[in-house]
Amino acid sequence: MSAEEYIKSAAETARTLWGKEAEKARPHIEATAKSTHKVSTTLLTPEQEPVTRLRYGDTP
Amino acid sequence: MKPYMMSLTEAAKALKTKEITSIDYTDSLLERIQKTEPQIHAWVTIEPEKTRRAAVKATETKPHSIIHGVPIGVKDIYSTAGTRTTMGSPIYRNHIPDKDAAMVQKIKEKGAIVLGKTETTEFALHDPAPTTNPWNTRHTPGGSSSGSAAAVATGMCPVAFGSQTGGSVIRPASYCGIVGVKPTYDLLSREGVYPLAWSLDHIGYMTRTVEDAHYMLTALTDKEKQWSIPEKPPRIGVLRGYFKENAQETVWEGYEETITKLWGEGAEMIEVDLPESFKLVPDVHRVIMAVEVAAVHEDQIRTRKDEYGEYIRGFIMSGLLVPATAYLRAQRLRGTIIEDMKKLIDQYDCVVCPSTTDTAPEGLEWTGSPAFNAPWSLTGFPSITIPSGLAPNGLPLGLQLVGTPLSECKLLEIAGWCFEKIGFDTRPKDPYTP
Repeated sequence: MSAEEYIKSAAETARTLWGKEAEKARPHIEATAKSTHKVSTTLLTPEQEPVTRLRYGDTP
Repeated sequence: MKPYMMSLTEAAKALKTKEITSIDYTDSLLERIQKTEPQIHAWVTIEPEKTRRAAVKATETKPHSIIHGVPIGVKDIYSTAGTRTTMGSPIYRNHIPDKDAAMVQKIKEKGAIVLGKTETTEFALHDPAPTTNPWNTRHTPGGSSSGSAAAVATGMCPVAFGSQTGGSVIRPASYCGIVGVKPTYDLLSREGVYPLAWSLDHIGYMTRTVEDAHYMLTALTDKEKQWSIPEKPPRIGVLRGYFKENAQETVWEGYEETITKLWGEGAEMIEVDLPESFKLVPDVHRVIMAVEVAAVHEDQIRTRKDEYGEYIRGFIMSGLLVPATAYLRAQRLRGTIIEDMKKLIDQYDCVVCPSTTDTAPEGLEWTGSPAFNAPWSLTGFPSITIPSGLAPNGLPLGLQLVGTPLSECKLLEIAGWCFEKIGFDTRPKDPYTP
């Protein structure tokens, strides 16, 4: 799916879920969908784990 | 010199030698607030009687910390026992917590005083506070820690707490011509601070000098030690690329002048190339932030939707649409970015870039872009902004220094070296309206 198609489908889903309210949120929905598409189409290996919390310790 | 004009360090010395008392100092700051607040609007809540009582207690107690007897501003998303904490939202307009946030508790243990609660954008996101920029009150002071930055810049307090998820400490500090510190992720406890996005939220603070920033950090981490600036000039990695592409022309010119100045003073200024993964920063940051903000507010917005501002409502909706796998993928890419950036910064004492894309925008509707700060919120690396001069429009410019995790003490020393060479008037700014 291209970025344009993905953004369009996100906007349609938003309209189905929230009706008119989704129109006001359109710039946010489109910007986040654009970023989601970019992230989703960047290849990763299975070994690359998610950073769920950053634990650097407590001593500067 | 009137007490309100003193830096934290100067005030601490004067308090120690009994040249002034905490009561004198507090009264001077309250008087300054009375004079400048009508133009600046930095405070949500000020309780003069409560503050004076705390100052009397501090005056009667033996000092045991550098911040003993010092009044401090606290962003209005930090819980304060018995004092209203609104999160910049009408939902919490009458909310009075029964417990202090960990950092508030910490400063109280050290003998410091909560001077009041400073303005924040709604839930520390976007919908703006009424605060103005003291350098030009027709311009934003930045956000989300808007009140804290303006209060420190005008001398209403010597130090104030902020928080940063994108650029909410560094950006307002830079726009207001002061020092901002965003330490390593979770170095300072987030307990009792209303979350915006858990894995990106950082506790930070603002002062007018780097020396003050050093003393505040050492007090907060229970490691108080004397301040010193290294004699040996630092070895600094100079970031361009993404930063040059996104900076306003005057910001970039000011940055290049600062780089040349520091090089002229003997610092090694080495141009470095950003890793390929850095290009993903804006998208990865946005996905993580949108999902976490949506998760924080998911329950509350169901029943109190109309009490949310339009911006945050739309941002939450956008986060609710992101698939779980995309959020995890963003967190996986974040690991790659962290690894690549750490390898790069490890080769230098620190790296530098401009603190903001532009000078403080005109109007109060928008608090400016976090584009130059979000990379360091995403990686959790410590970053510091120091004022580096004025743009042709008379508004402050900032230099941002970034180090590897837990290098903030060293980073502050380098910032101190740069600050001394650059030179900047650190006295409180009287509000200016053209």
